[in-house]
Amino acid sequence: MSGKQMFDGVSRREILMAFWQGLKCPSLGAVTIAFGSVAGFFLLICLFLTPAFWASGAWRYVMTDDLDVQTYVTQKVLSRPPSEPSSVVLLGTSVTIRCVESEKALSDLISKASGRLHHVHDLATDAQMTWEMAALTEQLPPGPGGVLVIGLTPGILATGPSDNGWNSLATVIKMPKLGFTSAALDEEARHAGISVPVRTGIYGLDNAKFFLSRRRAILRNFFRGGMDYADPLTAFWYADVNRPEFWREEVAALSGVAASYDTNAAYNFYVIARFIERARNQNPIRVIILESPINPSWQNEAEGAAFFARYRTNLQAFAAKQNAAFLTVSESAGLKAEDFVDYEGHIGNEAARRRCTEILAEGVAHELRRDI
Amino acid sequence: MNEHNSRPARLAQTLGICLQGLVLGGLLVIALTEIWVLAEDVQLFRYQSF
Repeated sequence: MSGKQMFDGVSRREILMAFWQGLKCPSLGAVTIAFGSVAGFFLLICLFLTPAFWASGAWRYVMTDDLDVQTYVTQKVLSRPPSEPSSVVLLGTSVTIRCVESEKALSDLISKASGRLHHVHDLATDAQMTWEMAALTEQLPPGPGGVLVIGLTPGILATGPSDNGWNSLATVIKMPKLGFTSAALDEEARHAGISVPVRTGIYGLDNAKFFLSRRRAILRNFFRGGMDYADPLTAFWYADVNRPEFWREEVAALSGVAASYDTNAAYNFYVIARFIERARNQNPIRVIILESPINPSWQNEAEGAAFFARYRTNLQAFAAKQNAAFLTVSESAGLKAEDFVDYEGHIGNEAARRRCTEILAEGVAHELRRDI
Repeated sequence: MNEHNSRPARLAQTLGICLQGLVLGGLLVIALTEIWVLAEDVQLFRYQSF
């Protein structure tokens, strides 16, 4: 084709020049379209970025990495029907995560032991705090006759609502780790004297920070494709913690953790008691207070042995007060020091994780046989 | 701006204006988003990021 080809008597060059002129010259039309497209973009966010988004499979494009458990659990919570009869909801931290082989494996073991199908919702997330547990339980509570398993660690109970750092309630309100707002979480914040942002009821706006913090990952995933959730035993940070220097730092930090525990444990037990009460008000459920895996190496440290003995006594007393079962997995699963990558209690191999899953399943099945 | 009298040229100019508007709109969206991120000090939680 030549540059002089005619369109309705107009040369191709003239058309291109007109197009270029429209493209480069400032015009009211272009400004109007620009502002209109901005408004349209935010309108689309408000209209189409809803909880239903999470059921679509598009959540894979929100994953920041293949162990972005906050996105993974948000997807579970917002896409699954709540209150399935006899469902099992598991809460906890990264330590609890590595005590469960998979939801299916745990569900199969519980169903086999109890003789009845029980769906498991593993909602444990990295550094999950009691106020996030309240939000998760509100969003996806166990159904009638179900079990709420609350996996605890000293770190959960040692964190105060207004502490510095990522895990405090004040920070979680400002910078949510999970992709949904929660009346229970807001209530805990107000209760602790922390101001809560205005909630519009528009999902995309209320959870904008969750998505904004992932904007680069979303863009990257748009071009490269989404990500599935990987095996937590492959965590990149295992190499950073699985070394003697780090273990020595953890041992040295125990006195500080113990002091924070003494300051904040009562408050956190109170938050847990409140969300247990809310869940029981919805449905008759069973509750298990789970002592998440503990590295037996603590027994070789005088301060560690004393602290973990006190911690266990406190969990047992709290469970009794809540009419809940107390379950410990460390000894029953025969967990040894070499099964852990750190003192915090992260299991590092599949065999130990399987044993942990089996003991947990036995404990849940045992509780399911008990009358509520 | 020069006015074009023929219909194909006017159409081409309109398309140019639309494209300019969309590009500006896209840049505005990016700018507003980044301003929002800075104003709210939005950060991503990453566990065990030493």
